[in-house]
Amino acid sequence: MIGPPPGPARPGFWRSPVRGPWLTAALGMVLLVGFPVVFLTGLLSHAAYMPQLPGNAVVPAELDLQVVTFDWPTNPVWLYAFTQGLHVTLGIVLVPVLIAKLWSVIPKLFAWPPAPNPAEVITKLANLLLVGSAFFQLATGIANVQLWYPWQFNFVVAHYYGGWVLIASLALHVVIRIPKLREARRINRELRPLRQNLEQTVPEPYEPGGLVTPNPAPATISRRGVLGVTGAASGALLVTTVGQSLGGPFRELALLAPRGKGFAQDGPNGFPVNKTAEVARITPAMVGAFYALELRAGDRRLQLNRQSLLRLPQHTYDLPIACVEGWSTTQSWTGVRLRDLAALVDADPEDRLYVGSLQKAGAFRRATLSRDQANADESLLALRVNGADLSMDHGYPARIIVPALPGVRCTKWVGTMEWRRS
Amino acid sequence: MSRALAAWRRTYGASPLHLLLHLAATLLIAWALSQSFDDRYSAAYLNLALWMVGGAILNDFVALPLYVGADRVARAAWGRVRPAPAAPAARRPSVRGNGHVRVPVAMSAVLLLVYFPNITHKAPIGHRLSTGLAEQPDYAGRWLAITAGLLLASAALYGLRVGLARRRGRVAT
Repeated sequence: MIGPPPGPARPGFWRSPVRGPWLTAALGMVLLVGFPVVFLTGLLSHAAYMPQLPGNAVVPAELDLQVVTFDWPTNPVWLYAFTQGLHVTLGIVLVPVLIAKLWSVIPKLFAWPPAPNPAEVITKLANLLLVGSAFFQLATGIANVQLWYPWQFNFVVAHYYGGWVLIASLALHVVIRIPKLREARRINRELRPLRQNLEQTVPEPYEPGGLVTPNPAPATISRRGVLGVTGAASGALLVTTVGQSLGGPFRELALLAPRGKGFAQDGPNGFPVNKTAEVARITPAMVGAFYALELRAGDRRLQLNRQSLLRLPQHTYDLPIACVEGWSTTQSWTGVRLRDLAALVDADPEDRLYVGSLQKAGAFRRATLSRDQANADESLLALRVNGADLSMDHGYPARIIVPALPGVRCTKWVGTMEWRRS
Repeated sequence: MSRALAAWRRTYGASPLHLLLHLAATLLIAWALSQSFDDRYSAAYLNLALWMVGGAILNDFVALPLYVGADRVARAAWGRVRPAPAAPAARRPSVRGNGHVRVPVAMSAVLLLVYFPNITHKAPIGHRLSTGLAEQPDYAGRWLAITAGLLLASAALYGLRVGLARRRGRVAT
């Protein structure tokens, strides 16, 4: 057989003494827990949009694999803030771990001969899909939360199905690598790498075709040092990101997160906006003296201006509003219960609620709420926030606030509400 | 092992289960891909395909050689500036500096990687229209300040460790 050409395919080319099954397994275990959590919270976000209700689907309904749909609960109120904050933050924090894991297995990429048998070719293709889809999911998700779309495909569709590619590739990879994981655990017991400092760091036993180098250089970092650098990098991302989901004093630390420090205005309406009145083309005339909300149930109609709405019984609740982009913020909302409005037009409490915005064009100007969402105590048509009138950007004259509902479904500038069975 | 199985292993390179598992996963993956490549939503096949494998290729063939190379160059340069002492331990107490460079640089680098769109103002109009902020926060300035802070803190810690090691060395002699 011909030997490998000079370069990375030669067994002695990669010389780090810390490369080996233990380090790869340690980093792999983090990803093995992390990526499935990101996948599951992604599926939950898909379910939270309740695509089974008319007009709600964001991933087009005619596409397959939309297996997880259920009546998204309204309790606990922080449910979506938690699942989606976890989805985005954990995905971001996994970036350094993925990079470190791939550094630890780089000799495998250049293993010689490149195609010794069909099994090896198939394994390599599967690994390309695994690594490719992992970076794809991270890159598209991370660009999306920063409102940057440097591609020519539909983000939601590609990110949803990319998740399936990743989870299937990951499951396959784990099943194939279980023997390696077991071996790494055995070595772990003997090596105790977490207790070894730099001087004590020596390579694991060499095996041809494995990760361990036959030609080790002096160690410049211990195994626990690699984990430490990776952890520090993940920690830096966590600290500069998670405040946009936790809020409070942590928001001051979210220096690089898209919805961290810095709002458009101070005071009661000083919290992040996702869509301004300007981009929704809502003008002061549309929400001024001639504004009226129309309620419909069957052939009954009722028009209410803002004054009449303010004369109805008002309720105040502290509720988080949580965005699919991972940020959330808890505010004190005051308004009329949705079910009190239903009673005004004698709507059947079993009906769904179709909400329409004054916004004439663009995404998320209509939302369909389930029976439970329309009847929950805390489900409000909010008129005020933190004791002041809603600002234009937060949906003046009136917006929907439903506990645990994704933010874009909490329709702003509400113009029509209709209770219907289907 | 039966002769047929041995022959299979010789030609294929792994057990039949290996192939079966890969076929099963391929079915699910192909199903998912057929949906994301549906031409009503992703007419630009090539663009999507490039994005699907681009990250893996950029990481393995561009990013990895770059950061491994940078680490090697930095260590070689430091070795020239301060060569290892001929008589070690006695005169100059040794405190390893590698981590004091690697940790802050790695932290700063991943912040730049993940928040590259924010830091380089990739979506100024979308940002204004969505957030209502007159202008995007100065993410570049924040990132530079964080980086400077990390480097300074790490350097201060290094200085402290060197000082402590010197004092310990003097006490010992």
